Amino acid sequence: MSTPIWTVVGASVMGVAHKAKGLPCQDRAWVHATQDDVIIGIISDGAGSAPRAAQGAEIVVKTFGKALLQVDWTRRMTRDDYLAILGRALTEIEALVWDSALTEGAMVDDYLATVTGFVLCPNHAAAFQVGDGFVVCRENSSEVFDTVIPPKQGEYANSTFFATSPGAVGDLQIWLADEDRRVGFLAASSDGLASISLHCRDATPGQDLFSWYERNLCWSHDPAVAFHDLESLLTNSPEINARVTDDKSLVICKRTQRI
Amino acid sequence: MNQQRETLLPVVLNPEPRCPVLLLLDPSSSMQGVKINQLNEGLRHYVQAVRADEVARFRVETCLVTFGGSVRIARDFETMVDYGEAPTLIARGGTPMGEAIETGLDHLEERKALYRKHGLQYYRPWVFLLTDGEPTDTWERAAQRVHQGERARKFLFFAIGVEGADFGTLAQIAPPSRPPLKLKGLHFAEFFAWLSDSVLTVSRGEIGEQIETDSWDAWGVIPTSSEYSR
Repeated sequence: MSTPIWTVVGASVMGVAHKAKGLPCQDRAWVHATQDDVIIGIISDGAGSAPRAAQGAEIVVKTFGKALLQVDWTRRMTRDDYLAILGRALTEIEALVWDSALTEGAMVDDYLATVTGFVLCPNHAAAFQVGDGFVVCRENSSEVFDTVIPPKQGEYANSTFFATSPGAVGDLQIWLADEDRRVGFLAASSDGLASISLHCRDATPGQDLFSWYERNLCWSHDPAVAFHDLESLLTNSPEINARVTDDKSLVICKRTQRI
Repeated sequence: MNQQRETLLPVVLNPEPRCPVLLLLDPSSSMQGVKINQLNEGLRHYVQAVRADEVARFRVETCLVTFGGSVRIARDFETMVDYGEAPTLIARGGTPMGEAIETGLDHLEERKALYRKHGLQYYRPWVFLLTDGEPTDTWERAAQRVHQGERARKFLFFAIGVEGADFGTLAQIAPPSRPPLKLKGLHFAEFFAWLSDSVLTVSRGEIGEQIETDSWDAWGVIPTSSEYSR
């Protein structure tokens, strides 16, 4: 069996602030690796103020996961292709949230949750978002990390856009890697880690931090081992938890060989 | 699993608004003995107190400029997160106070430019001049810069004289709205405790908010008129 092209780590942990308030973890992270070396990652961050946000995040992750698993990734996808697939998923999410709200006697806004996701194929990559998470990439032939999906803030401080809201497709950000460029590293994160990862002035990534991830995380091909290592870091790191009290979700993929 | 990870500390970003504090300290030869020991002890307390505060340790950046014999940036602007121990000052040499003030103010402006470059908000800086003597260099231009800087609201300048200081000259250096204070005896510990309490309070405030700090009664007095005319 050939070595997989990608190694991936991912974890979603409760923030100390949520723990202190007795709130559940309202982040969800889901990663799937296919036999064709395609990695699909979805992160959803439930709004802290929304009582059913964890449920909303669950709906987002499952719906996008299902939609992207049904795609034939052997053919190259265009922006319009992604818009169609992601748009249908957002429409389905809107319907599911409405149904849940009716059933549970709740408001649609009770389920507010963002989405940050990516698809990594051997020869192309894409990322998307409705919300204030972010995606950082490094080209395989480069040492420099770039923010390819920056956080999208709303009009007011601490406001953003949600995948569970009606008309969310209007707030969808999509990034496609250039055809002649191969991704060597990709990190998708909920906004919890933004303050320690992105320069506040222009949302460019802290180069040293992402280099640190490449050097120091456990890049095991066994997902359980890799998950446990990242989960332990996000949960127990004093440097991170002194600065970040929100829930944290992070999925990172690294190409196993530099080309 | 990576058992021996490198420390994360230097690589996580810190977007907190900064509270710059510039300390212009006089370890000239006249500070030998108990005075320099008390000063060093006070400095250690200040570093510990700011580092222990979960907000201030990421916001307060302290620079030490010393002027004992020559002017030296003993410690550049840095938060307390990775500060280590406070430097131990050794008393020696003359008192190039004018040069120290100008060096410190130049360095402060460079730091503010760095904040602006990186999109960091910052509080109005505090500058403290602590001396037990008189300048042994030219100081008039430094005094002008202090006055201009205060008028332009570039910083808040505090001049503090220890027993034996030339308060007449200090009064010309200090901004007119804030004449120099005299340290009570060797109350360095009380001064640095007041300083750490004050910066902790300021660093928790909103940018632009008016902050009330504790009174300086515990460590300072207004010099007498005889202390002004030496």
